[in-house]
Amino acid sequence: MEHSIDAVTFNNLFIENLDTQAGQVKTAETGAAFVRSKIRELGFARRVLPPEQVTRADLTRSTDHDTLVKIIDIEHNSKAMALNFASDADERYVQGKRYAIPFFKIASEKFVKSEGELLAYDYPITKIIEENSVKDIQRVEDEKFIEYAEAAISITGKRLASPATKVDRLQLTSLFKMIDFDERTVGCVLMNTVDYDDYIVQPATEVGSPLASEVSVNGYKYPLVLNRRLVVTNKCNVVLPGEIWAFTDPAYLGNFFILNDVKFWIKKEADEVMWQTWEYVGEGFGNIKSIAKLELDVPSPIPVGGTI
Amino acid sequence: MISVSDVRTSPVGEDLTTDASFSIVRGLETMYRVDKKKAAGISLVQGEWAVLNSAGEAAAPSATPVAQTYLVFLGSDRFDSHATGAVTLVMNSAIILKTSLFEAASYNVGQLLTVKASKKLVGAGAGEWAFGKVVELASGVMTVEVFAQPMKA
Repeated sequence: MEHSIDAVTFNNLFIENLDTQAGQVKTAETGAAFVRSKIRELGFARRVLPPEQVTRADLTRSTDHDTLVKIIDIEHNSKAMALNFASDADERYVQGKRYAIPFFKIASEKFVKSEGELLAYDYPITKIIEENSVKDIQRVEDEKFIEYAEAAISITGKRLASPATKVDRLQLTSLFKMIDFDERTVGCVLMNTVDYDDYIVQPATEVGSPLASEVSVNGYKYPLVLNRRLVVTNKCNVVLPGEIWAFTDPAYLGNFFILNDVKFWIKKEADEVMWQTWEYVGEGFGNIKSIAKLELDVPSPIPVGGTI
Repeated sequence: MISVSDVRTSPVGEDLTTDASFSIVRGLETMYRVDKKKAAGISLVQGEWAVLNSAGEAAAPSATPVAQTYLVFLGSDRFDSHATGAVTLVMNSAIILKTSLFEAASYNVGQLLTVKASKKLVGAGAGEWAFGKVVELASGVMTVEVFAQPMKA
């Protein structure tokens, strides 16, 4: 990343800007060198279930508390039947089913630093924290997404434990069948990078020589696997190694709503600077049969004594 | 009213794509749907059964079946019922219904059914009032021919 001014200058400017009456002004990024701790990914939940912006007018209040939900209809069941000429069809009093997506806040930590201590940093710490906070917030979206997916499969039983230690096409088709069986189709496969590393090294006898050769040199460049969208995440504490998820397309799955997109707040009091980011979202699955999970017996990629 | 403990508030705790646990498959057009004031302190939901008490209110059945027992078509878990204080009963109507609201027991096709304190269908003993008959049994769902008038088993 190329920047126009160095980090120390940036941090100085940051502090000076906080003292201006005009308020906080974001300065250009700097070119100071620092070591990143890990790759912070954007959220995978947003790739599986694209978010939809809503406003207060779209939501429903409660008489019991000051929170909001969005109520979503689910398609009504119907059927036809074969009859004799003189017979009557079944009757049905139409009654719709709906579910509610409650809204909640996801917030970063509230960061506090004295202006004097900010001068000790050789990298634009405030800018980096601000950028990372967005990804940290999306990580929480992902955690809730998986939590709700686990709740769904605990009801439907669509969890397949396999003694296999690696994911391959056969394991994936076993996963897909759990959704296909219910007259749905898999739209998206979610796995973590550990399992992806295993999947892409399948032999030529399995995937054909051209693909095997290409993958050996350039890696797996395709956004699909077995004609389903592939989403890979490095958040191995959220999607654990050995856990492969299958989801239908969003229209058959659920909802992800954003009420207020990420907001950034900053304040300076005497020589202390405070800043924080947050958003209001709601997510959930109305069609719980549209999710399935495969659990492989994948050994820890870290040798004994290490931790993931 | 949406409650945070509602099973249909995310994370959703039921399969919403299945048919309802109760549906009337014959007789909808001709059946009598009658509102009756609900007795204080009880709840009645669709598919359960209620008795009329001495004040003509819809009340919970007791351990002894009585003739004035009726199917609850729309219960007290709705906004309109909350506003009116009444539930909608099916009265004097022969219908066929499919329901999963019956007591856990063993049933046979042709068996007469009554209603006791659970507010659900159960096999009728000799001499008890019967309100319907089993016509079909499937996994977790019973098809019942409901009588227009009760009869003694």
